[in-house]
Amino acid sequence: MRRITTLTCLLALGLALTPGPAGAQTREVLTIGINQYPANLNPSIGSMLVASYVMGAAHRQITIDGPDWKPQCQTCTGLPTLENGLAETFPSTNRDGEPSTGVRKTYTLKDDLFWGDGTPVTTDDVVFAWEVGKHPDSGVSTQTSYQDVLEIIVVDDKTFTIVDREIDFKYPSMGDFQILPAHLERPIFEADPREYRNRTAYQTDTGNPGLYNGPYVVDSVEVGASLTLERNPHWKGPTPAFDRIVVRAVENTSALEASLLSGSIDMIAGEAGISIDQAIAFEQRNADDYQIIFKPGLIYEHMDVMLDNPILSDLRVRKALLHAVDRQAITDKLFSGKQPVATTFVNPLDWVYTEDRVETYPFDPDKAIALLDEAGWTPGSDGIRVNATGERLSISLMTTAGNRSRELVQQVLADYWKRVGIETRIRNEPARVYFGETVSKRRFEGLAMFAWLSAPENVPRTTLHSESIPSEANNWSGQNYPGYQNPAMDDLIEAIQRELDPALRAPMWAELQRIYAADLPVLPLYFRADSYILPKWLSELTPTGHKYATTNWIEMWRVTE
Amino acid sequence: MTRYLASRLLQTLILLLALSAATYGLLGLMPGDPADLILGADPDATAADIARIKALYGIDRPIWERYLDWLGGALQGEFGYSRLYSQPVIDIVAQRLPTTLLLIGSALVIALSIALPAALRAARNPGGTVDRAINLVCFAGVSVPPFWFALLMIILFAVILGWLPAGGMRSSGGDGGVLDRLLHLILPVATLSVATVATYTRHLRSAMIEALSEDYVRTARAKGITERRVIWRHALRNALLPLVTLLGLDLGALVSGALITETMFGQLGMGKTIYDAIMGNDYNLALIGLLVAASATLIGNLLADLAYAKLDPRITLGREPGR
Repeated sequence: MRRITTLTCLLALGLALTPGPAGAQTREVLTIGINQYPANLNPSIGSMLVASYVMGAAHRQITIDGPDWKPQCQTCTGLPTLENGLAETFPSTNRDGEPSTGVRKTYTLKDDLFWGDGTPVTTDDVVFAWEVGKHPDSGVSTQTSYQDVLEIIVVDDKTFTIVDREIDFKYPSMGDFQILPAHLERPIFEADPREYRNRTAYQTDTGNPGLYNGPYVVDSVEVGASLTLERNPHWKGPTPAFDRIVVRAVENTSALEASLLSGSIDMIAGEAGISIDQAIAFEQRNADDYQIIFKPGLIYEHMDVMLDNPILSDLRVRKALLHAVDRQAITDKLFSGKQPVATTFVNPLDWVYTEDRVETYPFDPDKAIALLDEAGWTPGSDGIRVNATGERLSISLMTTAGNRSRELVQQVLADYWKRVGIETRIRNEPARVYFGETVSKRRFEGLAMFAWLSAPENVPRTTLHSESIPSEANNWSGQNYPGYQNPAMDDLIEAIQRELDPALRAPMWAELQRIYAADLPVLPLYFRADSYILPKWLSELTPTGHKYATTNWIEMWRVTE
Repeated sequence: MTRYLASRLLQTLILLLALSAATYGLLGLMPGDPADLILGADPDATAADIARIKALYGIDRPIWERYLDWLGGALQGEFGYSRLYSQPVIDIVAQRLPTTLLLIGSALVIALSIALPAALRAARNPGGTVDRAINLVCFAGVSVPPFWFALLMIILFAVILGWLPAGGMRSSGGDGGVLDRLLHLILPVATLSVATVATYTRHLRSAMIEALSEDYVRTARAKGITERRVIWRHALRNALLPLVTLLGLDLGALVSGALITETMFGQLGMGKTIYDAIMGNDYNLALIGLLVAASATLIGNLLADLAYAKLDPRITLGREPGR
């Protein structure tokens, strides 16, 4: 036993003293480690984060959110606005047949944009992508952005006008509308739309350069293990620094870390890499050899409250739950302060964020106790509070089993709550049961801890609007799992979407945040940070903090000795 | 013998049919379905999206109807597409099975070539220093958790010494040839071999000790037969029976893979494939993976039975005892 302990210590010491991967890779190749292999590379069908990460280097869509969190063109020459005349409104009807305002917006594709086989990217590719996106059998998961397009008017090879059913403040952007190479994909799609998701060339002929219009093309894949990307010879944008990018999937994050230390990979992607606690430990050992960037972003860790539960339907209890917990101490002690405490779902980096008159619930156990007393919960013989009928103040707290960070936070929360007389029943489930049944079908009894990944200025229609409460009647769609209903919130959500003037939207957003913080349908915890572990010689990689991966700007990455 | 074999093969087919129905049913009972998994992470999914995806994947129909559809296709050699990989499941199995066979097959061969001499040496002098040392190593081999041992191997040989790759099946960005593939196999095979060596050694050692104390061994020795011949021709032949049982069962593992080792070392084998398919609600892939593993176990058992008859003349196949 002693010998094993000594060996382990020696190995740990060796690990700590091991130098970085100097000289392990030539700079012609950049090898990136990710923790999952992307299943389907078709940009319209693949919804996995890792697929977006890989395709960020090889595929460019029409518009995107930039690192500054503002919409920008990726393959178009300029965003259409009512002010610059490239967009105009017209009388329309919404999906329910009610009168509404539609928008026509005109985009022009860049002249120097080519698929990897030299075929120019044209409006035909846009029209084909729309046909795929709106087809019920194509396998595209969410079709709203395609179905709300009433028509695409082709002006010429490069210019087209999108006719949208309804205008909202995000109208200059095309959202997640993807471009697909019609010259390769149309015959496959038209042969059998129902089998398109399986027979798309992105799956059957992945190494075909004509599928990619970004700075790199996927050259070869080892399914489940790695993808090799080569430079797109027809890319006319800034020249990328690497001839070849190898993306290697190592699912076990300890093995991923070891691969980095052994030089098998050069960097670990922040978007799909190691957990924050692992990265913090790594930083303590290897800060001299690597750049370690922690980027808080739009992943909002929180607890959904089951508002049908009589105990939790009492606002005083929900407020007491937050006052009883020192969330700042949790993030300081468990995450070295890298993950900022959330007051609402709006990230402080988002321009609509406000602190003006938004209730924040600082750590104040006395106030928590007072609120619980006021709500009729008095300390019982064992310290756990009971109400007049003798019912114990016992709350179920669920999360994904095996998620170390969440389980740790869960333990700390339970301890804080015990101090004010609240009993916590921890009941965790594997992710597929938890998200597949318990949360999505509103089968949790008390609190459900998980995270949302949102976008900049993301209107919370699906999470807070009363029409988004999942039920059997609506086929369990919508993500308003708490069952929150507030007409004022519904009205604000509708109004914000319609308001085009940012100056007028800002006070609405402020009001929305105030209502959210006052009603507490969800208990905010913190915003998760992505951990990027990069070699010292890599520069110009700018983490975005939102859903668009850093690889969307891979041509800007540089090697600096 | 032919009749016996035909009867066993028929039993195997019936068992596989029953297993396919049971497995399909169990997969269908699991919480969540592909639509939940596809749309669960997408806050923009509407009721119409969910209904459409369920219809597209056929999960809006009763499970028995889906099973009969699958069975009809399977009988014509059409096993469907994998939801996770958007490829025919047969193609995926064809890619992954050789990796597992190579990985676990190598581990089995190495384990046998170490376990056999070690067990024989230990059994010759039970309780002696060599026996105690071998026992100690075996206990360690069985007790060490594979993921921990794998990590230790990676840290020592890949990170500290830099002799071997930390994971993957070949070096980045190119085909390094057979040597490169072999280098990538050393650590996973070593990890797998440790527990297997320990298990086989312990079983074989016990069986050998028992066999060496039997009357027929004493008789053989009394006849003046050399000790070498006593061990190899008389004792070992009987002592191999429990090991043959183990090997028969391990044939299933040979196909179903070693999940932890495959995950830790990034080896694309059947273990990881079956696990991912089950967790990802990929019915077609999970089903075919489990059936291939079950078939291997059944065939392994059949081979073990045949080997019993070969090793022990008292065992006759296909006849009721006493007739």
